[in-house]
Amino acid sequence: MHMPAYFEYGCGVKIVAGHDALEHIPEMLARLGAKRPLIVTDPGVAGAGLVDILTAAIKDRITIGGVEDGVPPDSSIQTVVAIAEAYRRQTCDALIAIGGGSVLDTAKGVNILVSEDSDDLLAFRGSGTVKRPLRPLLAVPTTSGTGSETTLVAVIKDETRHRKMAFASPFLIPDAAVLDSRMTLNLPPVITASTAMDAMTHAIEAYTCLAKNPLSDVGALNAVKLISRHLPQVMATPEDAEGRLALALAATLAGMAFGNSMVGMVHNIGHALGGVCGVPHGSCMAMLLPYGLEYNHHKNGHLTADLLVPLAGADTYARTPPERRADTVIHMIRELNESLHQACEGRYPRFLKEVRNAGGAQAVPRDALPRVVRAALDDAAILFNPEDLDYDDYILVLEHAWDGRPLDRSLIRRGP
Amino acid sequence: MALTYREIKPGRKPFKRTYLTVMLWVMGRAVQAASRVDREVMQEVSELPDGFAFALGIVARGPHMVLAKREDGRLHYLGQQLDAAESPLRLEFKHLESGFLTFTFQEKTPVAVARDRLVVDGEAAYACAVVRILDRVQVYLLPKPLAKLAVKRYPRWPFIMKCYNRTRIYWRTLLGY
Amino acid sequence: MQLPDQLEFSCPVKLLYGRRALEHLPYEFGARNVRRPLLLSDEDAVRENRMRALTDALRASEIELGAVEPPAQGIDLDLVHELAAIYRDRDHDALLVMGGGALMDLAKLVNIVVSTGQDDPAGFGASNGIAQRLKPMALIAPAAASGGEASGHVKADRIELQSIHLMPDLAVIDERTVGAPDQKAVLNAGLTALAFGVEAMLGAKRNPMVDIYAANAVQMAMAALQSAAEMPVALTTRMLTASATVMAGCILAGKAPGKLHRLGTCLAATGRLSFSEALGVLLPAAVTLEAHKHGRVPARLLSALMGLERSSGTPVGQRSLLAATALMSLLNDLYRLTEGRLPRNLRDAGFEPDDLAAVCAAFDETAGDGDQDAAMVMLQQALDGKPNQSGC
Repeated sequence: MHMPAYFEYGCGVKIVAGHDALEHIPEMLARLGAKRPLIVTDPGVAGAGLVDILTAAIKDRITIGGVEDGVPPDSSIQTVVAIAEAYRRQTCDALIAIGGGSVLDTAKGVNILVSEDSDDLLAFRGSGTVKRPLRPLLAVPTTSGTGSETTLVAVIKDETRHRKMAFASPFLIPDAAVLDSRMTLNLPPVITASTAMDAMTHAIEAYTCLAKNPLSDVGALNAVKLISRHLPQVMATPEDAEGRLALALAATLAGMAFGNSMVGMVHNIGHALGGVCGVPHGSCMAMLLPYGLEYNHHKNGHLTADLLVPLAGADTYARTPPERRADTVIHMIRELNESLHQACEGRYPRFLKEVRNAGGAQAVPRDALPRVVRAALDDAAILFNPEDLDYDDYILVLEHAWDGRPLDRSLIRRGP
Repeated sequence: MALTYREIKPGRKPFKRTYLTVMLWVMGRAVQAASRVDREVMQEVSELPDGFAFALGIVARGPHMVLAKREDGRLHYLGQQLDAAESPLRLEFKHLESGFLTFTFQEKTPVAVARDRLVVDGEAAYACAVVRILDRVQVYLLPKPLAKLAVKRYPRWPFIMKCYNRTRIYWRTLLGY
Repeated sequence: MQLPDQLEFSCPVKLLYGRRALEHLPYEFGARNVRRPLLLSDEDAVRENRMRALTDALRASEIELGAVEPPAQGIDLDLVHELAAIYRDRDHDALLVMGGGALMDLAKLVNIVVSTGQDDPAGFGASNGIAQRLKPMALIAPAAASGGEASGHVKADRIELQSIHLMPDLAVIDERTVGAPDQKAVLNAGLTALAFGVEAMLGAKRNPMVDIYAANAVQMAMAALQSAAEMPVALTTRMLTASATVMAGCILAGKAPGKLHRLGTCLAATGRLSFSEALGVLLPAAVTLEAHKHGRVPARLLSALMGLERSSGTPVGQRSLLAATALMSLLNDLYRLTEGRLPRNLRDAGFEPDDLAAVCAAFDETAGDGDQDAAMVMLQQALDGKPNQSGC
């Protein structure tokens, strides 16, 4: 048990999970005093028929105020204001966000405007500016990855100033996260694999980085265990509803862990890689995770070693000599990436050089790495990484990750 | 039954407040000096937008240090008044006591961040640049054992460069230019 | 881990644990728009310097406190109304509780009255009758806790209520307010938290969310109980005990208590041992019984009880025996440590085989179908504290 001298832990979101969890929504809304929810989603989710499943599950017992399905991949103030307008026009009294991180962030923004009866979202930016309970908001995640249904933060783009605005308040946490296996049952293999590895990375970084605490630790270990056990099964049998639900739960657990303990350099570089080269977030996480663990090994190898229990079981942990455990964990993650690569017939990249964009061209040319580094230097996730990285360190890590070579640990610089 | 009711108004912490005020004053002037002396800090500052301002301090009405980038491309120490900054990035300790722990080197800066004692309000990219600048300034300002408590990885700098720059930063901090 | 088909979990409590935790209160209050909390504290708060620590932490902040020290003995509705009147008249906007047990029950009742405007909290019915969010409430948790403080339960006078809304928004555990080194209190609180944790990790309702609190209740309580021998009880031990009891409250949340809890209540009602002692002597039996019922003891429970390194080499088939043994050896150590004041089994507490039927009958009244047999098995096993591998 790792007890830091000081820590905070909390996750106020109610979790409702099951194969028919959506059917509980009307009674949940009723308990929250709402009768007419507005559904917020994006075109992809609506096009996949998931909104239809949701409305079919609840429409007999509650009046749906409307469906707004135009949320863009990066939520923006403009979208938030437009949806808030629709909410008022249709006299809604609650929000159901069905989709990924951007949909939920948009819904949180809308909730601020409609609850505070304002049109000026910027007035509520920053930490702790929203100071009272908002209208009921339910989150229905449609991938098992982001975990954003558990967080108290929303990031919304200010298009006129080309800036991302952060909003944080305990009142932004959704009232409930509804995890239903039907929402992820038809995810294609590559998305299933990369979103699960996104959740895996949340859990592993929460466990091995600076802000860890004993509560987020247990959640993180449980998430790693569920993913390592169920992901291979779901890849082999995509219609495995039990496995799908387990992955959804794991993503939420990982979200709870990193929402409290934050993440580290894998996210830091991953955000940059996504921003500069457009690589999907989950793929970035999967490719970079072994490198993050290798780079930080001299600071947190003993924590990486603990992950052998959820990844391989207590017997393997007991059989492996303590000094070999961390390396075994890193090796197992590489092997998992390899098996997912094969299960996806090569569409799941293992190394940066393998990533292709929609047109089939190489998405991360080697000469793009310096630009990725400059973006990574601007990303705050690094604050929670055990070891520091400067320009040269980033290049070292990225070049290894580009080639797909394990990191040469003798090249990692340490303080005197 | 009679219950005794008492009102308790918050008092102040004059000693710790004064200590932090002095530390922030020194730190603010040292950052200003470093932006004229150290190549890396100059590089960081050159990439910040003109008019950029930031404040480091304690929430609410606690002491702060406020710096802004001016036309000459350098950082200028604007004093302790929060409203002196035009569009500030704020790095604030949640409590005077949290700031005191860090500024008396009882708690490393990265540890204070990890322990949720600091709130960052503003653009994350700028916050990262400011953290790198502050890290470098602390290495100049503090003797090695203390600086090692303040940064994650103590850098290996050429001895002559460190001594030369350190002397210039001390001097400029004292004289305020 | 076997996952349930249907899962519901909620815990609105935010934990602030450790060095200078109290100093984070003003920020958390500010985020919830709280400016004037009403403090309810016990009578020892001033003597033990806890009050000074709190007021010191609030210095240099915007928070203004109103403070009352309600009498320690029994809660009645008049007292609740009197406090509610103070809350309203003095324009308070939140409740802050420094202390445990009945004081927190009192605060929960006051909160119902001031938040809903209903004068009689009993009117909300026993189970989840409170639909609305109540006023912000913060608990400054002591080591000498009952385990129910952070839960959504309140039991006082003729009132028994449960609701997720009764849980505090914040639970603060700070070195300066965790209370005086009282070994007996630490032992009682530790055993209660341990039992809550073990039960939550064994039962059919186990899920990976509850596990977060349950595994921590177990590992924190074990660490605290194993070091409770030091006199005076170390600060770390008290900190761990306080946080283990907050975990216990989070496990219980707004749900009905489990079998072990109810059987413990029936044993304690005989007056021969305390509730926490009852839970302690029942624990090894509960482990073997549940292991028999569900086939295995989770590896996480074993590692929470014994530490990862020691538990990792255990074959699946030995886990229940080892878990029960770890608990029995803990009880034996505590018996020695307290010079026999803390019972290892029911015989130590003066029970004879013939006494068990009456306890079982009392349990029948509260139990659901199929639990009565289990109760008898547990009681018989706890009588001598013998391990029972077959579970029946």
